[in-house]
Amino acid sequence: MTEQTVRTACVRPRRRGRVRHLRHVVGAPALELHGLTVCYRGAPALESVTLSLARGERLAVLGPNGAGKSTLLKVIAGVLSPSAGEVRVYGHGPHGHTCIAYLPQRSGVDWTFPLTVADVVSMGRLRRGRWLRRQNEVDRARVQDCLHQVGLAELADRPIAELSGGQQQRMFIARALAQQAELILMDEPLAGLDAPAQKGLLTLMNDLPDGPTLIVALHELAIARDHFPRILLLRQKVVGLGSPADVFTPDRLRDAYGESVQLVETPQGTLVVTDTCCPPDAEREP
Amino acid sequence: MITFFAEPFAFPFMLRALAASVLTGAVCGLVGTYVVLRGMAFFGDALAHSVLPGVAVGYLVGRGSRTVVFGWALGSAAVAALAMGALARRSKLKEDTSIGIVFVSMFALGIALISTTRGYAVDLAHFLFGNVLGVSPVQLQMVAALSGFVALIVIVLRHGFLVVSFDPILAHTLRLPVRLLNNLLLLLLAATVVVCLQSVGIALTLAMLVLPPSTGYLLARRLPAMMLISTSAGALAGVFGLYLSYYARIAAGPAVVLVGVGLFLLSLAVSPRRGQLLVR
Repeated sequence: MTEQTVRTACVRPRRRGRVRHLRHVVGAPALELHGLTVCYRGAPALESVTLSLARGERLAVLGPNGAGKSTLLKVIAGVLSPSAGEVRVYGHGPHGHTCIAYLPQRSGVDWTFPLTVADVVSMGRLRRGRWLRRQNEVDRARVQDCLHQVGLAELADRPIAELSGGQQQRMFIARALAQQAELILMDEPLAGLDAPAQKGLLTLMNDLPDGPTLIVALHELAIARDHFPRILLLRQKVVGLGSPADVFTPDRLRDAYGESVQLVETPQGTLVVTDTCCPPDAEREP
Repeated sequence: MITFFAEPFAFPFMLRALAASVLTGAVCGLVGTYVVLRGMAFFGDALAHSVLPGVAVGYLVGRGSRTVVFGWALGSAAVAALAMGALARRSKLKEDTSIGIVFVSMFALGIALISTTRGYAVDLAHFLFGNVLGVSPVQLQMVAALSGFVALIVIVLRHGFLVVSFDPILAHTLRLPVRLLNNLLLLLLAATVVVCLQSVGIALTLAMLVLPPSTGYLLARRLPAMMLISTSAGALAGVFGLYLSYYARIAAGPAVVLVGVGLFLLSLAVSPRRGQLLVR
């Protein structure tokens, strides 16, 4: 029976019509998801996710590999279309917005491209309707400004292949700022960084100018608990949504991580041990 | 010394050959930049071989008129380019498998069609290995027009092509016409392959698509510089290839390619990126 409902939900989504840039609806929340379902090769990667985020809120998305974190971010960005349900960004579907920035996983980027840091950041200045023209003084000044805000001003002319992991992530944040993004989606920005780089990046995320709405996919439970007021625990479905204290309960963590999490009671409190080793295929999402 | 450089070009056909091979080298260098950066070398080779059925039909229909051949070759390459993309999307086969299937189908069809004519081996050899010394004034005009058109589009849409190649998701969130840009790039590549048909021929087109851009990649730090070096390297290979062909008495197409290889090896020797290349 459940098999049947899944199959009916997994039909090919209709092609969207022409894309326009949309004005934000006044007073609309930054993001609303209603019963969002996404299918990938006939199997649901996300199932009936419902959530609402106010402007300037910061949400951490946690879950095991293959839980649908990347898929969630891509649907919100309007790169993937939902099979069922609805995404609303500032009151409209995401496809028309140019104010959504998606920061890719570092491992998915071709770092051998012949580009400098400033080249990548200035890509954020292009957008529908004005990507054919030359970059002008305003664009260049804005790019410099954004590089300065993330502390990369001195590295503007450095080839991207020569950056450290933390610098690579900062460069993408600068690009999101250059894009004047109001909703920033980050796909595992802390993965593979050492502790000082992680700390620096988190400080930067907290102090972003104009307080954009942030949605960050993470693997690090302790960091999510300490730095994010709201947590979404995901395993295809919503396992938990709320403050860290509400979400990080033994039952919910076991629901989300299944066999790979072990909870050990110690005199200092509950210790969570996760086994993050996964088959490499689990990471491959659309 | 002056006679050494001037002598080959005393003949009008040599001047036309020079113009054709310089144009070919330059436009291949420009478009090939994306072939190298996006890892589309196999696609480029497949596309080059896929023009053969168009060439054959044009040859049979046009009774030897090379102008007709041009149009049919372009159509054939465009169909193949879009078919490879569509097959990969629809059939869930891996991309290189889909490309390979279209490649061999088109190539076999082309050879089959040409084999119906008399003097089959000679004609086939001309298409496979090019015949730049036999370029007619009309053909040269068509090569020039097509090269100019391709170069213009690549330059006007450079931001779009760059973003789509480097970070397709960014291109989506900036709401650029991603699919249009991708398909347009394939069509430009198809046009480039047709430009190559006369000068280096089907079999060596890939060389012109990857050698000059690799030279540019090794020497440049940024994309505009890479494109400039790549275009110049392609044009230089065209010029010096003809000299090599004239004085060493070897076929022009392979001579151009061999000069391209020489320039690449030279760039490998002096490249600031070389260490990086060898380590990876």
